[in-house]
Amino acid sequence: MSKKLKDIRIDGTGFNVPYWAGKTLEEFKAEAMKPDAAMIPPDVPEKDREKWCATAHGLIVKANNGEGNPVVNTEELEAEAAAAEKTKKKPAPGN
Amino acid sequence: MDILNLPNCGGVTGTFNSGVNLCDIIKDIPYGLLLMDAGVEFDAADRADVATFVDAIKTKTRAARGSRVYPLWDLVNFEDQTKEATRGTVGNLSVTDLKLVDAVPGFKFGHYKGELFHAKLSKAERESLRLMIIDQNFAIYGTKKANGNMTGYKLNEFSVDPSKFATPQGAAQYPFNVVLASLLEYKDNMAFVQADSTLANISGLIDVNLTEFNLASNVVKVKILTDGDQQNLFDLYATELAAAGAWVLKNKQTGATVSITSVSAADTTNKVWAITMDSTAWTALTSGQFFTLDLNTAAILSATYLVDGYESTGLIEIEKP
Repeated sequence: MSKKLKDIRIDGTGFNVPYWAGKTLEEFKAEAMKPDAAMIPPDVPEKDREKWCATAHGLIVKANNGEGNPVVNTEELEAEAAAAEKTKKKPAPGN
Repeated sequence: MDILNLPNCGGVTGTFNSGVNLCDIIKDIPYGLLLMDAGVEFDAADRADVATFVDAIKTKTRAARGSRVYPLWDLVNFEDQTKEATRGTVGNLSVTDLKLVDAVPGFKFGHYKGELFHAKLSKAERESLRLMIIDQNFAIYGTKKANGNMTGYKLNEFSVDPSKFATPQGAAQYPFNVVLASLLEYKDNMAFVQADSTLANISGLIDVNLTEFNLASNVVKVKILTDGDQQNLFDLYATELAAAGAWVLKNKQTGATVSITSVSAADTTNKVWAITMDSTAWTALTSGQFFTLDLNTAAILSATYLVDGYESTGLIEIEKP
C-alpha cells in the first residue's frame, strides 16, 4: 500500500519518511527531544528517549529504502533495538 | 424556384420503425438521485460492465469540485409534476388544437434524513448541477451526448421547500423539486444503464471543520469536527490521520508547500492531532506571518489513508506569535 512508502507510524505518530531519512540522527533527536515536540510517545521513559530516537530514525531510513514494515509499535521497536544490540555484541569473524 | 432543403422531412426515407426491442426497460419508482457537476460524463469504458460503472461513479463522488457526483439515496416521496404540453389553435382557420409548447419534466421528491441534511441540500440551489435518476431496480437514467457519453439531465431549477413538522397523522416532510431543462435530453436522447444494488453503497462526502487547539513552538494541535453535528473525527480516525501526507501545510505569504515532519495522535485526552511543522521554515517566519493548514483532498484521504467520505470545509491559518 502506498501509505507505507510515505509515512511511518510508530505508536500513533506518522513520520514524513523522505524528510527524516534525509536528515541525520542528531537532527532527528534535536527536534524530537524538544519539550513541545509530540514525536516521541508519552509512555517512553526519559532514560529511553535517546534510544527510542535512534531506533525510530533507523526504521525511517529503512522504510525510505523500501525495507521493513513501517507500521510498528513500541514492542517492535524494543525487539529491533535488542536485535541491533545482539548484532553489535557478536564477535567479529576471525576473533 | 427549387426547394433547397426540407427542414421537417426527416430524410429521403423515413426513420421510423415499430419493431419492439427484445430488451427494454420500464421505469420503476425513483429510489435515488445522482446530482453531478456540469462537466461529469461517463464514457463507454466507464460503462464497460456494472462493477466498472459503479466504481466510476464512486471515484467521481470523491473527485475535485467541478468533476464531482453527489449521491442522494432513500427518497421517501415522489410526485411527477410534469405539465401537459400547451396546445392551442394556430390561426382562425384551425379546427383542432396543435401543440404549441412542449412539456418539460418536473418532479417533486422528499427525503427523511433530517434538518442538517435539508439545510445542506439548499446549497445545491446555487450550483449548476445535472441530474441522473435511479429507480428501485437500480436502473440509472440520464442522457446521451453526441459523443456517446452519458451524463445527467440539465436542470432548469433545483429548489428546496421548507421542511414540515410531523403531525399526529403523518411524519415530518423534507421536500425538494427539480425541473429539467430539456425534453430533448429526457425523451429523444434518453440513456439508461441497468446497475445493481452495489450502487447504493456509494455515499456522499461529509464536511469537516478544522480548528486550532493550541500552538507551542512549531507544533500545532488541531481538532477536526464534522460540520453540523460536531462529531470528533479523532474517535474514528486517530491513527489513520496521524500521517504527514494526510495534511497540507503552506506558507501563506509565498504559497509554497512546507514540510510536515510528523503527525501524532498521542493526545488522547484532548482528542487532537499534534502536527510538527518544519522547524527551519517555522523559525524563518516573522511574527504576524501565517502558515495555512488543511486536510488533503477527499480522494487522497480515501485512497491512501483509508479515511473515506470526509472533506475539509477549508484551511486554518496558523499565526507566528
